[in-house]
Amino acid sequence: MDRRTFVKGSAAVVGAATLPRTPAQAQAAPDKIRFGYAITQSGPLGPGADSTTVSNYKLWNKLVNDAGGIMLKKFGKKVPIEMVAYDDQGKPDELLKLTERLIQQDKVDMVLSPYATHMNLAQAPIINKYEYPVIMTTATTNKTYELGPRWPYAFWNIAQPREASQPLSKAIADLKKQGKIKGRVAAIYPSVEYGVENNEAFLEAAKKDGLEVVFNKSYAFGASDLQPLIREVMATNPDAFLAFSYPPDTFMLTEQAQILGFNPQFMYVAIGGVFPQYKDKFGNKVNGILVYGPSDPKAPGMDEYAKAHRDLFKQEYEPGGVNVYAALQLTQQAIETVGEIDRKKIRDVIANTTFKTLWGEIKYVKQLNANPWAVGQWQNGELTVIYPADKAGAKPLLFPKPAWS
Amino acid sequence: MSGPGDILLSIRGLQKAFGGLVAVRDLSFDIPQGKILGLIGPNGSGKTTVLNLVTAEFAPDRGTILFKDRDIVGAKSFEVCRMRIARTFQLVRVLPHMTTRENVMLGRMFGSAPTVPAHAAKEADALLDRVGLKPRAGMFASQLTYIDQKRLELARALAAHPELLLLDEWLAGLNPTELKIGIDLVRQIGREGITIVMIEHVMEAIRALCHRVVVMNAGERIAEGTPDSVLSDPQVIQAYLGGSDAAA
Amino acid sequence: MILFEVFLGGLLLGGMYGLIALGLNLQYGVARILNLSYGEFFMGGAFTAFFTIMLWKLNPLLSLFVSLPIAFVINWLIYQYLMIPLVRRAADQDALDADVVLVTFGLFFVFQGLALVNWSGDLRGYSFLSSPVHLVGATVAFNRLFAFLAACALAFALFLVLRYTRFGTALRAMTIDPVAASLVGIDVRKFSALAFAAGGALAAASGMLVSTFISFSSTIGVEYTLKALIVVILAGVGRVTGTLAAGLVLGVVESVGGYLVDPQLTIAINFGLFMLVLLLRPTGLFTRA
Repeated sequence: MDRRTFVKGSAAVVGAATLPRTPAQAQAAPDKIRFGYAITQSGPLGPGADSTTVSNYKLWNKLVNDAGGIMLKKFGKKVPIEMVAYDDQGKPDELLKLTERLIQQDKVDMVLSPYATHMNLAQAPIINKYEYPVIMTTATTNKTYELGPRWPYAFWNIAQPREASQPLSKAIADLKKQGKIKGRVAAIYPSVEYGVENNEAFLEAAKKDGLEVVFNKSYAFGASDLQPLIREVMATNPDAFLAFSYPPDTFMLTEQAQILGFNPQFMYVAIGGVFPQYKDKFGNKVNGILVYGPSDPKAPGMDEYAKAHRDLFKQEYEPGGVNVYAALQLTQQAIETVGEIDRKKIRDVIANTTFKTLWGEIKYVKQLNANPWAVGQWQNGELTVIYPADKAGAKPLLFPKPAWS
Repeated sequence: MSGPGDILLSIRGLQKAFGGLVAVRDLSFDIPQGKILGLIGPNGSGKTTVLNLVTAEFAPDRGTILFKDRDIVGAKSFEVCRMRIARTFQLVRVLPHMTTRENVMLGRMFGSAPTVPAHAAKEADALLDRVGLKPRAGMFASQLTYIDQKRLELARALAAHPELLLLDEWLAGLNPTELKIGIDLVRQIGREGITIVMIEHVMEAIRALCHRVVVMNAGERIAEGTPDSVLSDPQVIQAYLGGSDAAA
Repeated sequence: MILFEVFLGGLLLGGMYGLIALGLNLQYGVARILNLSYGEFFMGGAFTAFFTIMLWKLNPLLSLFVSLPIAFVINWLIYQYLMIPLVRRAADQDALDADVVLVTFGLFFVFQGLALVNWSGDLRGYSFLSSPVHLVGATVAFNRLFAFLAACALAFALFLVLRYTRFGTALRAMTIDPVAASLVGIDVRKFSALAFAAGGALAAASGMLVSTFISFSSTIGVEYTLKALIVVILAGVGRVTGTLAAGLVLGVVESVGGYLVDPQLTIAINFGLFMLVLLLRPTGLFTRA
């Protein structure tokens, strides 16, 4: 070919190479975004995992796909999502194996949290190693204070022991300052890690706030009769009664306090206090009782959430699971902000954004949720959110707790 | 209802092996109604096994057992009891944590004519009196002496109103006075019309009580006849002198 | 004064322990079947009571009209069609126990699975007779007192049946020596089936009564089978009339011990007493060993 033609031809090739690409030539979008989770689906923790966590995974899966999927703006389209699920049988080493499998073999795009404190803790180092951002939704333990900053990819969503008990101590101190109570506190707790840690965190806060702890004992987890213990509590004449309890004890000590006519003006029970079944059993007697880990039934979007849950499962939602759904919401928001599945970028967005979710505002500081809903209260037969008091949606404390009628 | 002279129980071609050991081999004999039949032979000759087959503790490999012309092979042991066949055991089998009276009541309550405890208690006391156990009616059976436990077993067996009574070495280990009392008792029972089969080593009792005797050795019948005739039968004497010969 | 109330509470608690174990002692002691699915009928009785009051707004005691016959029939069927074949082919009690454990464990999975699917794993509770009763200066919960009285009544009724009826005498004989029992004309299989069925019905009854004061879910079965087994072994396997007494001892020792020493230790004391009895008197507190 002669020189003129070559130059013209080369110019044409170079020119073509620098033309902006048309959408038709763009990199193809993935046809599914795959979320993987290993969770306890058998054994004693199975039912809890199901009602708190798995049901929310399934609900979210459906609602997201009903809306067409998650918007990946890099490809200019919504991509439907898909779940890959395994049963860890309640065994931590099984969980680790399955997590590796999800990441290495199934090559899922994102991993979702397992269930229960010890399982959340077990999985965190692995997802951190493989740089999969995961929001842990059912862990509450002092360990997160130290591990939160250490693992950039693991986020801790619910109220940890300090966040759960400090508001209680402060509330009692305030009431004492206002002259409404003497500030005599009795606290009981089951002798398991959750109880011990929450009790300790409370005692620390109570000391700082200058409260008088007149009674502090632990009881055997799973005890069949707490009446003797409550009698002992009553003998010290407290006006604030705190129980860092688990569901069966939560129910039992509430009934036994009623039977004994024990009417502390300030009463807190921990896990299980938010259950609809707690309200079903005690009816209006629940009014005034403070509880751990509430969600706000009046938050925007909750009516639709409640209805969608009811339609899909023929059952009411579990308030402790709302934080799980919120974690999924903010995960979606983070992915959409990034526009593609780039886990490092997604992680950074999660770590540095304030999200609006069904569970109120969520912002992580060093991977810990800065101000999760920690304490709620039954008022007029409805669950309300009380602390943090400055969080949008918080209602004022109902004081005193009405006496059992 | 069978009358005297009829055959009450008929054993035909009975065979039973335990693993490689043949305990009863092609055994046949009849038990006439209203009589006392002795069943003797050296240790291990299969006598107790025959009783166990009759009371259906286990099933025979072959053969029939006709009780009042009905083949009872295949019946369960509690059913056999209700047919009015009762027995005592070589190794006494009373219920240790029940009283003497209650043990006897059991025989009455679950036998052929079931009844309530209150009724059974009355009969039990009468029977206990008969065997000389009345003073110990309220004691636990485990507290009785061995001899008394044997008496208890007899009372219990009688409580079932049996037509056929099977005694497995019931007169063993008794001193002369006790033996005489025992023999009288058995004779009395026989006179009431109850057919008796007695396994015994105490030959005095055999001579005193039995109308007929069947001799077994190594699972087979080797002789049959009156006590005198079988006890002087050279084959029988040889079987006993040859020592225990559990068939290999 | 608190100590007296604690003692009373311990008696009531012990009544509960005795109550839940009565049925198992019939099944294990008399019918000689260690039924690992026993607690599932306890759970079924609890749920039937729950639905009766929460769904149909009726007195939960009425649920017994449903749960007792159902538990009786199902247990009877289990014995007839699943257990008898095992009994037939077992060479001795140990071999039977091994087979029975496997089969009843399978049943436990089936029943619990059905419950989980239909009723979810959520914790349930309802309020019935949850008012205080003041006795001699102490306060007890009416529902616990009621369950205690029911336990006493049932234990007494069982005592009367065992002592004065034909059926009961047969059961006692079978418990002591099933072979000897059959040799006096007792149809051991028929009575075992009835005893086993009655045991299952008692499980449902105890579940109903306990559900009035303790919350429960689909998965509590195993826990109550274990509690019942401890009391059965404490009393002596087959000592049906001693079951309530053993429960009372356990309840009082646990409550008073926990109060005097440390509430953390109530469960440890419970197991501790159990182990002590196993070491020192393994046949049970009330056997004529």
